[in-house]
Amino acid sequence: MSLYYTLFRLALQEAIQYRVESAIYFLYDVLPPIMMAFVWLAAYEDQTSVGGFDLSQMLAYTVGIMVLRTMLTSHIEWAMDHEVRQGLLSTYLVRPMNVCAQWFVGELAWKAVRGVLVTPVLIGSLVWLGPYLSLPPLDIGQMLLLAVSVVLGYLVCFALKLCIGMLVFWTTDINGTMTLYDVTASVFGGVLVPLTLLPEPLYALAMVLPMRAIYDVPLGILLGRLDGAALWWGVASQVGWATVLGLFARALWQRGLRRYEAVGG
Amino acid sequence: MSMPSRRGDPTIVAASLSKTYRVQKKPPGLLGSVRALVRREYSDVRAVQDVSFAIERGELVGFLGPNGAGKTTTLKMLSGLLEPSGGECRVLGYEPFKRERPFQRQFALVLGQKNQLWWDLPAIESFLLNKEIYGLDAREYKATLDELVELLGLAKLLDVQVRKLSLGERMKCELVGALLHRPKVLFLDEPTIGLDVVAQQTIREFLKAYNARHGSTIVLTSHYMDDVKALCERVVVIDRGQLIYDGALRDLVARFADDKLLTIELEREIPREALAAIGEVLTWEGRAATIRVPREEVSARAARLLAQFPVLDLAIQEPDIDEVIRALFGGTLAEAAPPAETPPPAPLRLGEGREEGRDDGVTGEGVAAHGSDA
Repeated sequence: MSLYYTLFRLALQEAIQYRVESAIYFLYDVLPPIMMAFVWLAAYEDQTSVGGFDLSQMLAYTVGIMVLRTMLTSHIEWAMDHEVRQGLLSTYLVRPMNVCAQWFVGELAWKAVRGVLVTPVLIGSLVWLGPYLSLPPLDIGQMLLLAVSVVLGYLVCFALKLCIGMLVFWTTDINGTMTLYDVTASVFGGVLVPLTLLPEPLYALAMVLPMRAIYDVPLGILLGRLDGAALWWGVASQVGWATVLGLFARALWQRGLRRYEAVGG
Repeated sequence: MSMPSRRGDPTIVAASLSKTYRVQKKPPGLLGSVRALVRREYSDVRAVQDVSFAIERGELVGFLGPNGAGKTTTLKMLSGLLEPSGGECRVLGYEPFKRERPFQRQFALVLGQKNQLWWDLPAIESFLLNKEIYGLDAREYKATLDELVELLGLAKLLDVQVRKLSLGERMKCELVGALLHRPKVLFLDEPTIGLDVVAQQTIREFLKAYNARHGSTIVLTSHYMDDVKALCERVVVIDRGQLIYDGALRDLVARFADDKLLTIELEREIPREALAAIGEVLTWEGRAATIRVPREEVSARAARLLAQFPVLDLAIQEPDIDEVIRALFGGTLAEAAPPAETPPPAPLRLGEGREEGRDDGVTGEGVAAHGSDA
């Protein structure tokens, strides 16, 4: 355990070193939802409901997605791309240590920095949009479930990004794939607009893609839009995706490593 | 499966060790990447072929060879990074490729061109992490760290961010990081690459002292002859994937590097045959030439050269490691060739022949083929 604590401490120091870069990527994550809040405020001047969301829910969703995309989106594929390409993986593999665990802990440290950055933005947003917000209060059970769902969302995203990062073993360029993922996730993960606003075929597609399990399920719980069977089905899908993608990442890791071992680092 | 090394077994054994890379041919660009996902084409590169050797505990052995010869590939197989495609190797009784934890706790690999320390943090932080990774207790860690820091004179640099260190300082820190767990076996790939002469010297002296003090087995690759001269009594020469010499450095140098090179520029064209009176003419372009002369006669021959020919410029140089290796080929060739009508400028031809060998796509049919040609 003290190994992972030390690793976290080092990664945290490193993340703090890169505060300028962190801040830029942070803006990349928080600015679009803030713009969307302005868009929604204007759009709701003529109507009371868009896609089944009233203004209060829509703004809460927008602030929620701002926080969740900042906190839950893993960028481990960048680190993997860098480390495999630079041959740093070789230096990890000869040490008695689990490389994936190292990536996971390192990523957590970066998320901790994100948490510090996003807090004042969240407070500012709540001050700004607070007058429009009237959400049903969550009971303790729902709050617990929300917390579990947020953690699961992170695990789904981490596992998914691990799978994407593993492509570095097979291709010389994963930038294309990463961009493709970003676009896909912003539509099918509900980052751009809530999924219910998608036209029917896209909505159906979104429901069977893993990105839904990252942001949409916890936000559904927060807004009180998921209940009964839909609620449990949502959380179960998160568990399912985290498991399936985790196992897939592991299989890719083993095969990728065989390739790395065959070709050399 | 792996058994701990029994007393008396060599620390490192390679038996007919071979490695063939399947290299993917990839069309360029993003479209190429996507296309390559669907349909891949490969070609085989035989990087190491049938290499066998045994290294005893406490030996300090140098792997020599030109770039791309297979030294690093061999070292990576011994470290467990690459899976041998033929033959086998054992280090401390383990099969490295299985990457078993007990094995990994007893060896270390330093790659001269890769940074293993956390780039943005002071080196001491990486050392603390290594302490945890290798499960060292606090006292043992401190004792080792103090010793290494003192030997390498690093005391003032531990709290400086690694990226602010000079290349030499960084390599010293890399060595500390690699040695904290007191590995029984240490692999070093080009540990002095890019370093200035003083730093190279320090690292050499350190390695020598460390090896003497702790009896660790050290294998290093280098293409700096000085590294090898200073450190290794025994060298293993690898070229085009094949082991072409394994023995005392003394014999290798005495046999193949006991001469110097005279590089000259001439006022007017002088026939090659005329220059051959001074020594073995390696290159000749009419008004410029390189002549190999015996080390002990270098000043006499140079004086004769200056007296007999209109020399504009003269430089006396050590043959580099590639020269030594070419000479080694030359020796092989000379032994195989009939004594009388041997075509004279064999060594350099072989250097060129190497390129042709590569173009064939058949790496390393090398020595034997050339030997029998002659």
